Amino acid sequence: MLALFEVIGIYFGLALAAVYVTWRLIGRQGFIGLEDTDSWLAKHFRKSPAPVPDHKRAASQV
Amino acid sequence: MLPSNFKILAEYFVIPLLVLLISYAISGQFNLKYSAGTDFFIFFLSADLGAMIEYEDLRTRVNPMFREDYLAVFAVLFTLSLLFVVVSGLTQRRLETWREQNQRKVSWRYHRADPSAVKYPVWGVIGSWVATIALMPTHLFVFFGKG
Repeated sequence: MLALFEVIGIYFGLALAAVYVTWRLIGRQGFIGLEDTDSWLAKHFRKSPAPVPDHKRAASQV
Repeated sequence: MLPSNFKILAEYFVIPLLVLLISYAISGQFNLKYSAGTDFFIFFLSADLGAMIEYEDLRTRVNPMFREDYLAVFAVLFTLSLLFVVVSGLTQRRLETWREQNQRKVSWRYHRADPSAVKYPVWGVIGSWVATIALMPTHLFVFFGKG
């Protein structure tokens, strides 16, 4: 019987560590939802678009 | 400090966890935010109940480590699974209310100072997922382990 509690204790410890690592690795937002994961990926891995030169921006506004 | 069979215990832990993560990655959904994993606990609960009912048949086929205390072991697992079915069920209910509330936020009728506002059940979700990840290998080890 003691063996069962030992096994449960070990697995709960490992599970706590796994959830914590997942949380930190993917980020608080990433852990919690598809659209949040997208924004997290965009923030960390996708390059932001190059800035548009002023003369082009002015031309596009005409 | 670690038990002698820690390597085997770790195998039973890592394999289902990887399979779970891979299945989430393949299906492209990381919707842990919106789930409290109630389905898992229902499966564990039915497995424990089945093991207790099929006492005579299964007793000789489970992990030899637990054969002596077969009924007590499954009674403990059954109680844990039942507890987490309730916890995750209530968490899921709060999650649904929270999601509904979030959808209502875009409505012009939504008032920020609404006293009935439901907070995201962060501890319930974390607790449910920790229990899911812990009870998965526990059941596998009790059923299929070799001491």
